[in-house]
Amino acid sequence: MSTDLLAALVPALPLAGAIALAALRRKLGANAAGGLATALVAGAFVASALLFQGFDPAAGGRTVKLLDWVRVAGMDIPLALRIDALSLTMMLIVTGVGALIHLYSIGYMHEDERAPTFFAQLNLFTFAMLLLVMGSNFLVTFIGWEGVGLCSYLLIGFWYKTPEYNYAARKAFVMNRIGDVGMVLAMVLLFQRFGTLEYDAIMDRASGVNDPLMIAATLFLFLGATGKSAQIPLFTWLPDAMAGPTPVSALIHAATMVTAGVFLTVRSSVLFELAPFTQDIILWVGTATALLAASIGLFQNDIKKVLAYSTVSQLGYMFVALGLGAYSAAMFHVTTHAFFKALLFLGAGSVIHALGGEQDIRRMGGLKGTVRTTYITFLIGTIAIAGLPLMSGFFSKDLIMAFAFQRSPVLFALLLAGALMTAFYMFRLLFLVFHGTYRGQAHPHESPPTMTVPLVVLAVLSVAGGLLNLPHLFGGHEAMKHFLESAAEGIRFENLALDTMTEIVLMTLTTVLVGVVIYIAHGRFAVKATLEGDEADMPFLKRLVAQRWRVDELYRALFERPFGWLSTNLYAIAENKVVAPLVRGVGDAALRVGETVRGIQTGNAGFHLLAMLCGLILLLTFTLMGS
Amino acid sequence: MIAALLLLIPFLGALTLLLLRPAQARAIALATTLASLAVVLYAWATFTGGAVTHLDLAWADAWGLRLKMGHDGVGLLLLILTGVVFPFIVAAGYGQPEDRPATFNALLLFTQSFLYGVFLAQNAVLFYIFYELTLIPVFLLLLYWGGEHRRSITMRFFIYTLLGGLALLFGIVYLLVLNGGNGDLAALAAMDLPAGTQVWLFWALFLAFAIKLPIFPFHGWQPETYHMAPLQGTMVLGAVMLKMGLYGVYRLVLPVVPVGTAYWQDTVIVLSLIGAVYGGIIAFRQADLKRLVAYSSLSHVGLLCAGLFAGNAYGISGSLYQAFAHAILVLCMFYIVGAVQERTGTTDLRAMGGLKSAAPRLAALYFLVVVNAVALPLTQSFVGEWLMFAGLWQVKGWYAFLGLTTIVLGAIYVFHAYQRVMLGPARDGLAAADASARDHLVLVPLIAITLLLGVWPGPVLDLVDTPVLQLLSGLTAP
Repeated sequence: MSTDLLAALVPALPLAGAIALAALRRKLGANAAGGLATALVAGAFVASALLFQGFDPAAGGRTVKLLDWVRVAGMDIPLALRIDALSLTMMLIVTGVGALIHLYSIGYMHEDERAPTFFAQLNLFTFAMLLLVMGSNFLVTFIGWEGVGLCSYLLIGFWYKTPEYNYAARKAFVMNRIGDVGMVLAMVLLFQRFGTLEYDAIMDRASGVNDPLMIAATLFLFLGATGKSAQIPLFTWLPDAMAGPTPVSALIHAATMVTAGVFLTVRSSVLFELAPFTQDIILWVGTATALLAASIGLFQNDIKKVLAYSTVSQLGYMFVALGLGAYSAAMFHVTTHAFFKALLFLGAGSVIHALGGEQDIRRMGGLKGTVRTTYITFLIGTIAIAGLPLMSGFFSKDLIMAFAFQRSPVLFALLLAGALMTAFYMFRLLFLVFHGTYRGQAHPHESPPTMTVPLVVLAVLSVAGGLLNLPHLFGGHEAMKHFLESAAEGIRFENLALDTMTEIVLMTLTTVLVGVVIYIAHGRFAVKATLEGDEADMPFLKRLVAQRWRVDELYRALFERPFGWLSTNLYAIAENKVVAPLVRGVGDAALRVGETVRGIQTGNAGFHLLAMLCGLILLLTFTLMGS
Repeated sequence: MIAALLLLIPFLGALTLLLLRPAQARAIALATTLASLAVVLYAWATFTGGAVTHLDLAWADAWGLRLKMGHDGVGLLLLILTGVVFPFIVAAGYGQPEDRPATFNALLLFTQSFLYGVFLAQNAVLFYIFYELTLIPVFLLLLYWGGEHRRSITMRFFIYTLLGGLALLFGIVYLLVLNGGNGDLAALAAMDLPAGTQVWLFWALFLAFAIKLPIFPFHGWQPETYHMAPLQGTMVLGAVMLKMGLYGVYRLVLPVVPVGTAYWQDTVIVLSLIGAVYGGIIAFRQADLKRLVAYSSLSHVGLLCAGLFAGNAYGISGSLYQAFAHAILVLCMFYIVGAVQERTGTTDLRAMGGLKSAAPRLAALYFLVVVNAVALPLTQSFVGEWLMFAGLWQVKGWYAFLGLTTIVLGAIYVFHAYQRVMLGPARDGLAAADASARDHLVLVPLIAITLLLGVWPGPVLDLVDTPVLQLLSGLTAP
């Protein structure tokens, strides 16, 4: 099969699934729908793997044009796909992890009467995400960018009868749209500057350009990235997005969609390399997000909310890497995080499933005996994210921290604090859920194999994922970095020049401290279960953190309520007290004039003609006076 | 031939309805609009890209009035628009209470005939005559089939638009006098008026269109008229009538008073964008679905007008492309309003919720309309908006930014309304029927158009490409 056809097949398969499932949603059973959806995404994975196998990084990328799209007045933006190292990496993650999550969903959603609709939307999401990563120009990426936002909206609000879920869905969409303003501004700017939106052409022409416009363009792109990837200030939608079914949280809100901002930055690395100012902003926004979200994670009681804040925090680490110009490190962390965070979410889903919908960790505990596979895999995921040696998270996070140390020890210390918080909240979660004694009333049971098989596969990947980019220190040769180099110019400027001794010291320091934190967590949550009490009884600072730094309340007071007030009052005052009376005034005055000239009641068409006549007379007078 | 067919088919259809008062008035009207759609599509299929003159007859040349009809690609686009929307508008009537259907549908057909005239006219006086003629059937539709306060609201609408029309007439006659009585649109475009004249003449020509569109702050008539009008009347106003305003600017303002346009460009763009933002903000808290859609239309139209006045290739082609997209969107939105009203007996959002549980198919159709309303890529609206943002950016960066705020505002009010109507717990006692065969027959083709032209906008973009580039080269040549 030709490469072009194969490339087109990758997004086409899930799209076909989405259309077929939507059309047949009333006729198909849950299992048939789930089976079809899973098979199509698995098919896309196979196609991606074949493309990967036949891909030669040395030969560079390949553009596959599907259709003319926006072509007018010298603008020519085609619907085209790009196959290169970067898109292939993302395609493998999206379809690979995606297929596993589809499979898992068969078990998770089998009792839901709208399961076929769910799978249709999940397939549609996969299609959009594939367009996002495969687009050969910004505008095709933007199709996917907005498409995943729409699917995210649909799936967060999947259980549409609950108003809070609908609110969460809308909030996610609107906050993403705020970021999209930045995206579109970046695109019009880049188009104006370069006359094209094709990635390869822009990156070619931009190389070495010294232009303050690049700062604007990259800042706009970054605004878009903060929306999709839940960075300060646009991060508050992601925890609320946990309203969706748990497989959605795993696929969209952990493994794939939320990394779109990272992907976009790597894709445009040439531009960001030209704008050190933007890089610094990204660095500090990433650091702040990593720490803020990690601190919130310390006191959450909802199993999915802990994981959600953890995701925000981990995305912060990826942006730190981007800010440091360490694009390959960011992509490495995208990959390992996709493995272990999908694993953790699916594990959480398995627990929730076992407990009949319970999400509060205060009413869990002691589950390691009853949900054995879930426990072991969740443990692996926890170790991986905490960054214990030789796990995938260890390598990817350590790489980012090494780059950070090279920039500044203070930055390293901040990230280390974040890593310690991560270890703490994750082991707190693990111990409170699986250790000690059961504190709830449900009858836990292990999940079916459709759910446990993906857990096992993801657990293996979470352990072994580090091999993808094994550093020289451990006998590897940074395979992923070298692979990606052919697609992201920026990687060539990466320069990690720490000596081996420093690296070993930093790793040891981190590992020892993480170990201490785990020991403390074990004492507090495994030996005995220390539960958080009422927020009202907490000391001020702890309460502030537990209440998520009250950012939601702040946004509500600063934006939501004033906007509602503005909407109401623009209508009540500007519209009804100013504009409307103006029309009435003009209308009534004209009516009175009309009535004196001639009764308006008779023949309105007549009045119309009369008025035309008036105009003519006026005109004649005017021209006569003029001459 | 094509011009005559376009004008006569609906006109004769209307006369038949009026004189014979047949029992199947709607069916006859529908057949008539479908026949005229066939003619339009034929014209499109045989169109080769250049300007076409269908008819050129002396009439009252002494008054500058010559029966000259034809079209370029842009004119054809608006003819297609007129041809496409009317079958759907007539079909929408099947869901509405039947009240004097023969006269009602006759008025719709008259409107269509006159609208064809507007988009075919190649002579300024002829354009003006058709432009004002369209007002009469619409006026009667509002006056006799409108809702509460129809008398006063219709009068206000009528007089307000008429005042604009008077200014337009004045402007056209002034041009005729200067041009030795030659009202040919091409000749007017070649006039090269002194800058001082253009600066004031701009408003004489533009005021009517500013009111017709309407742009802020000339929009005072619009929300209450849209709200009061019978559903099909609102569709006519929103889908086609306001496009006369855009077309008028394209045909009569940009080429004839280019210096005046350049002089007032920033003013008009800023006003339009203020209206776009203002309408978008107000729409959010509207308690009535129909009014909410009316304000959303105000917001969209603001963007359309700003794009047109960007005055560059992207802005103008984007705006004209969007004129078509917006017409389809308006039809869908108001059709949904009608379908919801049929089922719940109200358009009051506060009294709604949970309709999806009873009518999941209708909810799915509504959602597909929502996707187009927020201009998601691969829907038709995205192409136009993208081009307009690119055009506005070329004028001033913050114009594009101001325009882009509407994509956030749109997301807020569109999803708010959708959720308010469809989602939430099922209502007790709401035993609404799901989408009917008629609902599918109207909405599915319209949604198909939005998706098709979203993926493959070429056919429409190709229509506007050449004329817009010609217009621009004409403006810069002297």
